[in-house]
Amino acid sequence: MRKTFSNLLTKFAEEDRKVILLTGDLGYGVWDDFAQKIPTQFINCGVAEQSMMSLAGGMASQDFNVFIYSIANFPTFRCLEQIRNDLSYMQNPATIVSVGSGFSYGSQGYTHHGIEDITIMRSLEGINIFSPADSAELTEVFKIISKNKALNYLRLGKGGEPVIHETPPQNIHYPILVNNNEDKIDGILCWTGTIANEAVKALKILKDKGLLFQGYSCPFIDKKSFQNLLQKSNELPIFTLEEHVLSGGFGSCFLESAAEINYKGRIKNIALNPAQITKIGSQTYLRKVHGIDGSGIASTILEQMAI
Amino acid sequence: MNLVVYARFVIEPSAIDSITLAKESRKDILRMTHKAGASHVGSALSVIDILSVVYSGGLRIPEDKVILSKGHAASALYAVLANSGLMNRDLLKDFCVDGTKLGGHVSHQGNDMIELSTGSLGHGLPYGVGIALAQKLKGNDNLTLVIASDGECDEGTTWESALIANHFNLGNLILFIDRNGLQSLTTTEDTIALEPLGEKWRAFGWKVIEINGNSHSEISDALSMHNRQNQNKPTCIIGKTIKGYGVKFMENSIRWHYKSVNSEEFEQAMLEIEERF
Repeated sequence: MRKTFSNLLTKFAEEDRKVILLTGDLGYGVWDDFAQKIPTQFINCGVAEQSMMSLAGGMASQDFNVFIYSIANFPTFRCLEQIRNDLSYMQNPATIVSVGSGFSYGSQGYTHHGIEDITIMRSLEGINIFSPADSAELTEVFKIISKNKALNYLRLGKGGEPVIHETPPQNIHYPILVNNNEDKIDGILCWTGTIANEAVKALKILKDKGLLFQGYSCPFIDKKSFQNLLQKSNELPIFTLEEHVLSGGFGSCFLESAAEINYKGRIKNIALNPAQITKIGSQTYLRKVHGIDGSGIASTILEQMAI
Repeated sequence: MNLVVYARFVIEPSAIDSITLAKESRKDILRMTHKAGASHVGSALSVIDILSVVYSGGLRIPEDKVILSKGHAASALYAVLANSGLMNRDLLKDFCVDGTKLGGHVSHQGNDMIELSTGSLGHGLPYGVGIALAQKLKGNDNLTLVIASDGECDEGTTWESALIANHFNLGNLILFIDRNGLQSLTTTEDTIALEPLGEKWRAFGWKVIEINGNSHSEISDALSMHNRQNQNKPTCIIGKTIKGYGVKFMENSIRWHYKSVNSEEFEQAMLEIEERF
């Protein structure tokens, strides 16, 4: 996904000389093409995320289309006040990009786990939060970002994510159905981000056990866009899934959305297990430990559906 | 050119001299903070002179951009904007009242000339670095002036910005440090010592000019010395000021960082400003 993003942004920046890429001294091997082709549009601010984010605001105020790139929590937690005051409050459009959502950098330890970012970005007014599942969703998300000047947060996986869509996804502002409509639906599983491939595995396990679930990938985290799904779900049980903490995240957004329209069905959130939050290991290992690998997700749903 | 009529006199934008601008603005600071029971009078009075010189022709407004990073001195900025004809004077009475656009810390909602809402220290300089970078990429010779407090130099972003601005040769960036020597609880030197401050900025590659920050002629000279075409390093003007300058009983006092004037003190201060300037 990182490589796809780099290709998309490089092409965009070649076409529009007002596009600026700021990096906090990260992206080795990722931005060589960009920096070589359009060096005046590539600015390495060094390891100085707070200043980089304020600087982004300053450039955006002078009509530059700024992309701010870093990994994990560095372009969010480290400079949240700058995002809040100098971008969001000042209504400066820009795109904040974090590579390494969830446990992409799992073996590097907690400092590199991007697992609370949705919560803090959701708390700010006017930020579009995009969390694509794969490079197919990212490509469609990028079309929106490049055509509309707005304040965006784009959380990406690191690489190697399987593509879950057989055809290019459409209407990515809304949950996207990834499996076929069945005649008898037992429930709905929604997710955001690269946990998608575990969700798809879980759907298959559930089907083998006789439970037919619709699966929706949600690359845009927004209350209004979830209401559309809620309204047509006929009060079926809905499970939300994220490689992220429960508080204030994707599932919480769903709950807020449901509360606004008085949704009568059951909603259960699958998120990280707080007791395991300090564990270190590969993304595969950590997903298993937190119960958000395919079989863990399926077990949770089966258990809940038996109640 | 538009003429704006005020209670006492007709002003053409930028036609006012800096001394008159500073004098009238000092009085407005007192009026505003007295009416609102607001703080930061001392901070506003120490920075009024750089603002007055800038907005009376010291810089090319609006092409040159000005950021008051020490946002707690908001009353000074609003007063200067109003008295130089850039903001409706009528808004000043709404300072800090319910529903106002003029918050107690600089609020961009108040006026299009306000580049950035400030109030959390350490934002103005990196934002100004961004504007200066943008101007450089556009190839014009506009300047960006950031006015910061000395206590603000405690913030890490100050020094990140110092490194970045030097690295990118932002000769179009000027930082003015309102060096009144005081911060929240005690002197800057007893809080986190800043001296030798000028040497620090020189070590970061900046051109450093040290002046009396309450002297209009020294401020004006420092700004006019700036060569728009040939300056390739950012400039730091350390303006030694007196906190509360203009009202003797407020000068060099931490108490007047917090206190607002009562009616008696207000009358006394207004009289002093009228006689002194």
